[in-house]
Amino acid sequence: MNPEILSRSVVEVGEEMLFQELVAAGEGAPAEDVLWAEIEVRSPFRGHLCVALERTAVETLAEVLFGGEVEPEPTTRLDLVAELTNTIAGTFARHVSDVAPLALCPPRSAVGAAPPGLSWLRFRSAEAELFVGSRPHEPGADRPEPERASFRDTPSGGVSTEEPHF
Amino acid sequence: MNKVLIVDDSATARLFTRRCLTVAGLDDVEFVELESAVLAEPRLLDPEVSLMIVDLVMPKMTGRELLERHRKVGAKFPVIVVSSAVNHAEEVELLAAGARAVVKKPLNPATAAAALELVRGRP
Repeated sequence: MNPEILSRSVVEVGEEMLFQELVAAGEGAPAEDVLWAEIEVRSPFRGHLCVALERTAVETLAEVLFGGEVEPEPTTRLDLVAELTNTIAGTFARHVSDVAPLALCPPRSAVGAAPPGLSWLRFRSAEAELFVGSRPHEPGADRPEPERASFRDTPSGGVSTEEPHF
Repeated sequence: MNKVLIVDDSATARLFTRRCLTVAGLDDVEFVELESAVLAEPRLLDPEVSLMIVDLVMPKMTGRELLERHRKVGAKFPVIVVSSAVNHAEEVELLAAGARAVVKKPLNPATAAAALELVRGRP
């Protein structure tokens, strides 16, 4: 995955969705205890993107986005991270190709250590720090056919599974 | 307009969409937030619905499938697709499938207003 295009996508989404001026701060992995969401992209490339934020950063962004309108439940915070991941992945995929079909799977999200095997980039704003990890698709490592579950309702600490949709 | 359906599996996205539409001038409607296309399908022939905003990537039934049902049952209200998973090629396809406007996430008040103008200008 092209890190320059990925960085541009993250900065763009940070400005338009989070109202944060994110600056790329080099490589760097998140701490062990974070809120994270991972999404599988199947077209125009095959790979995984993961976004991780520490709790305090999510609190800050939730306040910016919800402004007290929504009680910041754990599921609400995870939903925010999942939607952020979805939007970054879609923006990145669009920047990669404007003509190929886009196929994204619904994200899975959880609290705890982020998935292993990712190459991480770090982004900072005045108010928050955000980590974006990526890894190429491993042939033969497709997700097994999962039982249906609503990842948006995944309780804090749980990892949900979802069937890919296009 | 009466009821506006906002169909997205993300509560964050639904809130964001509602706020953008309100700022864009859609403040005289009842917003109905639905977390899946499956929940929206029975409302396709609801005469009180005047507009539907729909995401594409959702579990169980995608926004694209809901758009196909909308056309199949002959629903009269317009549909605006709001999704991160759209590029130029997808936009052309979705417009051909019956979407009145296609907007990339993240939505903002300006793009919401432009989409509403498109809807109102093509009754």
